[in-house]
Amino acid sequence: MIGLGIILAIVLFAVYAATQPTSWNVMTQYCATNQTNGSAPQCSLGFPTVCTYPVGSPPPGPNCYQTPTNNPSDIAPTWNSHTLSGGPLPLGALTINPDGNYFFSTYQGLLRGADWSLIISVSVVAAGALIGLLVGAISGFMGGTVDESIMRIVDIFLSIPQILFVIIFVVVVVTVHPTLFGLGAVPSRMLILIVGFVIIWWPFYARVVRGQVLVVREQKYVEAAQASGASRGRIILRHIIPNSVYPVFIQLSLDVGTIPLFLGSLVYLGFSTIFPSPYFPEWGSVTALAVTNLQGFLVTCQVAPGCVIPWWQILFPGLALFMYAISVNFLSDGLRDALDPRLRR
Amino acid sequence: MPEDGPPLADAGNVSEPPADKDDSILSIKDLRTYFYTYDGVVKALDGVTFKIRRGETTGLVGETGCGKSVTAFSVTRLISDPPGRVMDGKIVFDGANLLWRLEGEAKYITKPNTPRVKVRRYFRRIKAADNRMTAIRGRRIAMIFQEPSQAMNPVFSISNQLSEVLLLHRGIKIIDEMLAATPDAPGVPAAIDAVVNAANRRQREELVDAGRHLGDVVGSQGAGTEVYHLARNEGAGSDDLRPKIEKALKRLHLRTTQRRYLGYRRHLMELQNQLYEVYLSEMREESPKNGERREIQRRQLFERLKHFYYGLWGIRGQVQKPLKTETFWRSVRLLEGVSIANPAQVARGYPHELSGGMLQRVMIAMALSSDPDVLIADEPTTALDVTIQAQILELMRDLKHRVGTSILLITHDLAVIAEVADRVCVMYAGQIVEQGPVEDVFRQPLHPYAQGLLASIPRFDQPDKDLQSIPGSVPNLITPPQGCRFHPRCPHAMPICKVTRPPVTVEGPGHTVACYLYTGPVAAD
Amino acid sequence: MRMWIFIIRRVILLIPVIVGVMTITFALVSALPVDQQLIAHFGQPGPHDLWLYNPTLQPGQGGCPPAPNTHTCSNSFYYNAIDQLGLNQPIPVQWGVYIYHSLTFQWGTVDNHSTAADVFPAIKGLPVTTVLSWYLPYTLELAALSLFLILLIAIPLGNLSAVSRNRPVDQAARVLSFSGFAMPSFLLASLLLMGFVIVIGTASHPAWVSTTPWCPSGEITFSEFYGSWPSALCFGSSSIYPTWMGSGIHTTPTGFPTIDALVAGQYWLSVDTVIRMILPALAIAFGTIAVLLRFVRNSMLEVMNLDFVRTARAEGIPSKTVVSRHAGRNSLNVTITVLGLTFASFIGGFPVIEYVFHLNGIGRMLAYSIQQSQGTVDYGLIFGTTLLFTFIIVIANIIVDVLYAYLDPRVRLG
Repeated sequence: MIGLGIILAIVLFAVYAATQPTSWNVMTQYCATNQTNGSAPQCSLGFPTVCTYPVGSPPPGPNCYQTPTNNPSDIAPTWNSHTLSGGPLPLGALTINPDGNYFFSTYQGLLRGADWSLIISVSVVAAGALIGLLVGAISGFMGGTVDESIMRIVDIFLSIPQILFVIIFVVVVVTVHPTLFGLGAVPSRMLILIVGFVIIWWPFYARVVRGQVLVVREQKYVEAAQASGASRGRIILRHIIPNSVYPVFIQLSLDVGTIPLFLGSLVYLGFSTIFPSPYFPEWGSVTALAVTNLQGFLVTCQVAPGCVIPWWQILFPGLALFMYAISVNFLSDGLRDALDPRLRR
Repeated sequence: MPEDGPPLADAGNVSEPPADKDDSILSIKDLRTYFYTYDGVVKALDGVTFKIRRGETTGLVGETGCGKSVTAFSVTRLISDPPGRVMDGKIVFDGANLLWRLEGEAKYITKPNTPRVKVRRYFRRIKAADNRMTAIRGRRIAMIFQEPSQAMNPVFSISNQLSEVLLLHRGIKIIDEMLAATPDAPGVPAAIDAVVNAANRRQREELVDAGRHLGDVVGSQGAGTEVYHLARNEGAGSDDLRPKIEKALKRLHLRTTQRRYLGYRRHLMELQNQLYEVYLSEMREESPKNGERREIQRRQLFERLKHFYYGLWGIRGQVQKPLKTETFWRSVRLLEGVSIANPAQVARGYPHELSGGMLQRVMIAMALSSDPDVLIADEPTTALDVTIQAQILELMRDLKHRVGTSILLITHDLAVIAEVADRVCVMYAGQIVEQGPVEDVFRQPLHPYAQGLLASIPRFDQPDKDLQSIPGSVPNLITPPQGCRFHPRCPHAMPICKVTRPPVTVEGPGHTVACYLYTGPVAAD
Repeated sequence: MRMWIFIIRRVILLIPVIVGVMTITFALVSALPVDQQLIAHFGQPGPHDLWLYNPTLQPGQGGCPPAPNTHTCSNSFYYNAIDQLGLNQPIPVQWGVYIYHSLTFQWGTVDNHSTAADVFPAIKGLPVTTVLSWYLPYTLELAALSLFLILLIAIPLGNLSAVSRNRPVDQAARVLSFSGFAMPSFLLASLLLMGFVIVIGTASHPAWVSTTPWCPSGEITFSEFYGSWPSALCFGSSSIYPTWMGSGIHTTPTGFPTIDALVAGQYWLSVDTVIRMILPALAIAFGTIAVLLRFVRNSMLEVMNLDFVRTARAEGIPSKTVVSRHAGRNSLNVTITVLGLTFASFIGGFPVIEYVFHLNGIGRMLAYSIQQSQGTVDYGLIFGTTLLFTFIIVIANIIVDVLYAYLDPRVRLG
């Protein structure tokens, strides 16, 4: 029941976030209005940073605030819109630049981040699954040398930690090609990121599908279908594919929840080239920034006892990320029960 | 001998004489086992009543899905719960009520609105009953299963699995023998000479006897088997044989730590046996002794803690080695007993290396290692080809004569029943419809189902005759037919068959049937 | 005998995998501009020697000698370097050279201007292999401890939750497992660290410190507590690792901190190192525990329904023995397989955790080498770390295969 409530809440939030203008739209609009006077330097970068701009210039967007206090991160969740120019901060604020005294609303960050998280993880998983399904199925059907060589390639990819591969891939490709196919900085950076993930992601699916195809191929019902004169294509379509894809579905739905965690880890490690801008609105990234920020606080708090640890900075993004991943897990668990006829009792 | 024992009930008597009661080793009365599935309650067994007499082979026949195996598993409480549960009835084994304290408990759990606390208590009782059954399973009632290749643990060697069972059931005897073994008894050199001579002369039988004799002289069965196998492997005229035999006998000189370890093991096993005795006396309803049971369990725990020292890594191998060797050669000897040609090699192997027939022999050896009172054979020959089938059945019959075990043989192969069984029970849809001596039932089946079953056997002597089959199929046991469960398929169905269940009537000496076509006196049980 | 053949076959099969991984890294490295490749391999020259790597600089730029040097600045170093890496050769030759270098542990040099070199000045200009060999032992110890924790927690808990299916224990294990899937490792590690700070914040009181046997002198602050090497506050100048990080001198006999401490006769130092590892090891283990727990539970449930378990019960073997010996041994195979499959992601968790806890392992090295906050990205270290992690994973996979074959006699035949 509680799990259902969590899933419902997450889904509602996701729907709400999807109806909001994306960070992309907001910034495009903003740049369209402000570009002429050159007051928005981030527009020339081609992408909306959430909040970086020189001291003294006007805030670049609705989710960016200039701090009125010395210690901006002390701003706890508040509905009071009078003290701040940008509006209420229902989930508190997150410092992004302690020296420049700028911060952004955690709520806005999460709201703007929902779509990016979903876009990245769904596209990575979809493309990876498609490739994996194809390669795995071919490998399983053909057998022999084809199978052997494909599986060696899969082995090679599986023995590189995903996070490391994404790092080396993004580092190199971004250095060599800052933009791709004449796209802008943002789309090409996103493309690089997604492609990096897909390259390291498909072998898992390929392996799962191949294993399943090998099992299914030997099943009695396939033999029975062969014996009853079904064509090869029909056997593949009617018997083998339906029975081999369902473990991939489960793995795939799990991974949708995993990828933001990976992105967060990369941002946390200080791998700034991964996103087009340093403070990119994505759930993993927002959480990682909050956690990084908190560590500084821990040191400060040890020196100066009595200081308030800004729990809201870590709680809300962390909770959002955690709940997102766990609800995806619950969904995949439900999916498994729903998809596998053997478990449907 | 049991198989020619005259049937004890005669047709005239309304109730069976008390002598018959004493004669039965396992009596099952009104046994009900239900499976709780999402589709509904499957009433797999609905009032099964029969008896197995001492030293007799009882066959249980019926179509697939009529509850034969469920009966066997209900008796040994091997039904997985959930979904299955023994709901009601009485299983008396050698005076012990196997469903002691469980009558009706299961019913309450499945009843809605039972208080949670009560449900938990009932669950505890069911679990306790499972524990109690370890006093019976294996050592008193042994089982062999249908698919031998699935029924053995794939990751342990054959000898490993046999030794485990041997230690479990025969541990005290083995340890006593090991502690009392006399490797330098006066007759040993002569016995060794005999073995060497027999080996040199390639006299196989003589070698067996010589090995056995040496084992008797030193007081260790395992050593005897080992020596025999050594001699057989070495071949004739080998100079190495004598030193090897002497080396093999050396392990019988136990070191102090080894003796102490054996002592601990023995002590633990004794405690375990005491516990089983308590369980048995509970089940015989001779004053349940909760306190005593707890005391034994406490002591057991304490012993285990002490014993832990001997389980420490490093010394463990050295300390356990003699026991391991002894049980290994004893398991080899067990395999010899079920006529496996190269038992030492088989014992070292793993289940996947053996054929189905071999594995079934191993299973039989394992089941009979404890000289059980009852052997339940659940379709032991179904997965095997015909020649192996015959060998296995021969083996079982031979063992029955040697050990005096009663056998419950479950099969759908009527030929097997005719070959081996003394009595036969015909089962249909969770009920026994007819039972009696094999000759009577086969010569003159009374129940229409039994008639149909027998008529559907292809007859070699009547090749022109059309094969008959029983129309319809086994009913869905979630919603079984009202009245006699066979009536939808029965050629002689009467209106009353659709209303009430027919009573069990006695139609001959020990021959009962549940059908309205017969009007004999109603059986008491 | 069969076992040996099996192991040798596995090791031979490993060679194409390792070469394949090197080919992937080669593809990425060779895509880099030539000067970056030179930096990755020979280290960064000083600010006045940039011309060493870039022949296109005009006279007067980047330390290139001024006119009368009229043509493009070129020098023998650059062309020697190009020759040495085969960069002027066709791609297959470059590949061959790269593979040769990788297999002979010539993994390049640390960049003088990278963030990593800025954070650890001692590693400036050193060969990547040397640097990684300093940091590897700690990572290995941490991996060993967290593997131990994984096995210690996941297997018994998985068995327990399988035996008491759908009971409170099982539900708790399920929640634990789901949170393990969903918890970002950096968040978990930071929360653990925060909890630790709150505890030690009160516990660093002198009264507590005096009762801490392994830290005889001075109080411990959290920033000193973490960090893989015991702080000078704890062990003063008698510590066997006071200076190598700063001076760049590797003075310890084996490099493994706990073993070194024992060799040096400092028992408490060894204990101290292990104590410091427990929290990070838990943080690393958590994700794998979550995966393993599910698999152990499910495989246990599957195995418990198999025929041979019923046979064992029918033979009268007590149910505890049936679960632990017969079913447990069979589900151990699944455990080992899953452990092998998740090992790559397990290893992938090290950079984050070591970064959070300030542990001087190769993961932390990687974390600094990808940062641009205080310098450039360090290509040599990044690619070196990737190769090293891959080696570890490949070797672990072999160990898993061998263990699997050892545990399951059916595999040994193949």
